[in-house]
Amino acid sequence: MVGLDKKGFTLLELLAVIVLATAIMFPMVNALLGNYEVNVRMHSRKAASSMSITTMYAFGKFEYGALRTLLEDNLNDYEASEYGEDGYYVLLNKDACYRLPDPYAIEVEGTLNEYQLCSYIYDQEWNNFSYDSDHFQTYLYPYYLDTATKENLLDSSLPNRVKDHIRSIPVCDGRTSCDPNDLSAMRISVWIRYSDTSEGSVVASNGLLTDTEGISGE
Amino acid sequence: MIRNNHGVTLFELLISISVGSVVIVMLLSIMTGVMTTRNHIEYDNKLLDESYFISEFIQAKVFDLGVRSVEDIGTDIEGKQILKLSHEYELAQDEDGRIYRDYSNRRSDILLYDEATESIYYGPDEEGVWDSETHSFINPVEFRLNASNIRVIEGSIIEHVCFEQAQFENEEWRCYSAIITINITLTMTLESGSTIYHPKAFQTTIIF
Repeated sequence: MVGLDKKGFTLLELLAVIVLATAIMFPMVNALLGNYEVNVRMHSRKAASSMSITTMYAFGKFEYGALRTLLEDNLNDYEASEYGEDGYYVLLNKDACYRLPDPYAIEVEGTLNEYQLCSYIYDQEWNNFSYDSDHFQTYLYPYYLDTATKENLLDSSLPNRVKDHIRSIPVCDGRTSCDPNDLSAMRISVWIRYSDTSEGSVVASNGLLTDTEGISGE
Repeated sequence: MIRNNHGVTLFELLISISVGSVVIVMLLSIMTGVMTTRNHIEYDNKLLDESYFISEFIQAKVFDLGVRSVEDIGTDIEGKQILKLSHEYELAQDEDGRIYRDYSNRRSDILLYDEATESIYYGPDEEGVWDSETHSFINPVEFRLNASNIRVIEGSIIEHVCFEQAQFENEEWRCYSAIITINITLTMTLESGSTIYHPKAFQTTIIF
């Protein structure tokens, strides 16, 4: 045929089209994936926050003496701790539940021993989110913090968010009842790491009192 | 000026239609894929949000009320699961400084899952609000936790495992500490009443 342009597309034209199409598609797909990631992180944070509150309440159900014994042993010789505790604190997580009394006791209907309750706590789910022992930990430490004890805790390998909370606790130096070895009360911090970003953890803290009428944490 | 006055041949037209179709089909499938994925994500998020709302509402109520006992009062009622959560007493101090249990402010809430209406309800166990004979709320819409287009479908379970009994007023023994497990399967309905996508199951644990 006369004058008919028989040329196809050049490689350059083809590449230009591919580049343009990619440039349009990439932000769309990226935004979609970004939204998804933000949602997962947001839900994970909400789950971690709710689970930390549940855990704080649940620790009030332990026999206080069982927790006190753990902390007493640690205060006496924390350097001998097999659990990586490098200060005046006790670390509990799913792998450390067997430190509590009766890990091998026979199950009795209607009751849970300390070990079983501990396992329930760390196995809990919140809208299908759950966290393993590296991401879900609880720290027990003395209620009365003198300067030396506070510095000991701040120099330890506790997570930074837990240390931030400890920093905000006033020291009791000079008061009549300022003995870190007085464990009629203790402090608890629940730490959950829900994301690998630097700010991706939540901490909930509370005080535990010795049993009142058999009710711990009242 | 040389001008091409020829039109296109049938063959060229067919080729261009074929090539155009292939390109359009590809673009449409990509677009449909992106839209389907987005809808799935939105659907999943909607159900997850709903499940969050239900579990956080119940958790907040349990802690706000200061629940000290839980009773399963729906064991004999078909199609209903009912937990009665009670704030039994407050700790008070008498003139001599002794701590005692003050039962004067005892109050209870009801957590109900009704299979027939495919809904979860939470409200106070009060006269004029909760009908203990029919085991339902007098004005259920006011106490329904799930949104009207969200169904809590059959197979959902709200149960508790009691791990500590305590003695309360009149020397009655009731469950003082428990693990409440909320296992709900949610689905979303359209205005036409039909459902889209698959239902999703969520599990939440509350320890008190």
